[in-house]
Amino acid sequence: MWQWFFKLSSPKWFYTISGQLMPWLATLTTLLLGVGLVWGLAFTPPDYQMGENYRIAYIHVPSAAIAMGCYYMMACMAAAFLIWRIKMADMIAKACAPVGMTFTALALFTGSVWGIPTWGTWWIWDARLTSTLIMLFLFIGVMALRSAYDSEAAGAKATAVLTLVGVVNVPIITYSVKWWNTLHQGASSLSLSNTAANPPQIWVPAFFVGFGLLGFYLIAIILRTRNEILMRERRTEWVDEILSASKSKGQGLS
Amino acid sequence: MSIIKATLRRELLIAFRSPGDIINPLMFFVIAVSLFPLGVGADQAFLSEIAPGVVWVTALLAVMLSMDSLFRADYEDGSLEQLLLSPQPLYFIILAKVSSHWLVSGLPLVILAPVFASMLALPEGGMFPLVAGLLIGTPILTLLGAVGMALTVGLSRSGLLLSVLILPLYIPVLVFGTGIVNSALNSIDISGLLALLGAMLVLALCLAPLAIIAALRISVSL
Amino acid sequence: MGGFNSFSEFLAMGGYAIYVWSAYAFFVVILVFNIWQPMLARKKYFKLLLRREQVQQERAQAKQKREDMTNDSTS
Repeated sequence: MWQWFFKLSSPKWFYTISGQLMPWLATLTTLLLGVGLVWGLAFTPPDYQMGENYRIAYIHVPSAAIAMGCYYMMACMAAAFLIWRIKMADMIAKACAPVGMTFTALALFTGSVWGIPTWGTWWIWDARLTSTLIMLFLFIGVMALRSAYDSEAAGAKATAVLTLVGVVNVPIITYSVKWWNTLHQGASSLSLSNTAANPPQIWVPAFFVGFGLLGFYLIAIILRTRNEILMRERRTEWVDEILSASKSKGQGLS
Repeated sequence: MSIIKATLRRELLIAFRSPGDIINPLMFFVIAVSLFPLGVGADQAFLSEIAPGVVWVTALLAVMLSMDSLFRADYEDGSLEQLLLSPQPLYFIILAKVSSHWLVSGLPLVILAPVFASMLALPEGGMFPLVAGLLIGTPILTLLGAVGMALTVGLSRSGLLLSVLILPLYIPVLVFGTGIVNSALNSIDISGLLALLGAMLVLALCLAPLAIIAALRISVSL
Repeated sequence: MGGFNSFSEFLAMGGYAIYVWSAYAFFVVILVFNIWQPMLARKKYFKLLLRREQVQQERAQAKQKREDMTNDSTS
């Protein structure tokens, strides 16, 4: 277990393994997303209450869940970086921020668009919408802090501290927003993931899209992390070999 | 414990020698609160409805803007580095520093708040909950702000960055602070909410100094 | 199985076309961005390294030339 853990913390090992894993992951993701989306968009019966509009939920729910998970993943990486000084963990944490931000934006956008016909307005101060918006702010803050530092090492540590401060606050924020919401307008009964009333043929494709999007999320993280490895480990021999190999392969634009 | 006293005395002495740092956040609070009636109209009923929110949001912004004077001078003259190298218990020194900063920036706001709340026609029954909430809430704001300030003190362009980092973390305090006033006005028992805010203060007192120390070490090493 | 009777019915989404399709369009934009942006960064980085190497070579050549010239003039 520990050996595996420390192997994972070696950039070279990560680069090689992720490179080997990538084609499989890409194929699996494409299959899952393709099947799930076509099935969900075209071959499921309409919802008895929301009509065809509920099809937005196939992308909204997993993107919101992944965005939330991404923040926790970033926090775990930040902790690993601060405690064990694992450089690899910081590179992954750095990759998490923009990916998590785009997934949060996707969850917000799809939620708003879904809300126009359902609530009659694109934005209501619903507890989930509000806490997702705050999550977006947290991601933006993390990225802003990192880019404000000129020194890579100092920026990495500062961002890790901020991420950990943020993750302590996330449950408090979520709880406070929920409480605030009930104080002002009563719990919203318009829940997107109300699967109890729906037949299985509606929520089975959701699993396909969900796991497909999870695969996509991993791909996005891996792509950014691999770039980061090439930039930070430029002085090492094995990266030099990769770079010169890609250069000899005609302009190195593979 | 003498180190806490010494730090407190030093910080308060410095603060009172440059009264601008104490007065400016207060002036911001006063002016910003008076802008609201000019913006939304002088209707007493409407003002009394938004009063808790206006007082809380402006107090929150005033605390955040006051943070700039917390570590800046110490960072620039190098005494922050000395502090981090000193053999004294850092946790308590930092706590004393943040406490003294709250005494000169947060406490005056709490004392002034009732005056402006009544100018905004906040009903009598909301006054005690407002002050009690501010009394417990502003130290949390100062502690969280100190974390943000410690992270950005080494950067040249830190003003707006601080607000991006810190304002999302201020949301729970704002929610419960205004919630306490509104609950009291709707004659709901507020002791539970005050206790929750108190629990947040205890959590911040325990954890924020650790984050501040870690952040200051990074900033000093730049 | 439910689903749609015709392709135009599928496009119309029971009157929710604009909502469903704009949500899925944004979804595609986010997916493409998350692949395209790191790929572009990789390309840019390789180009930068290539340029850096070229500049170094040119400098070395120029230095060589100068040295040759001074050697010529002295001899």
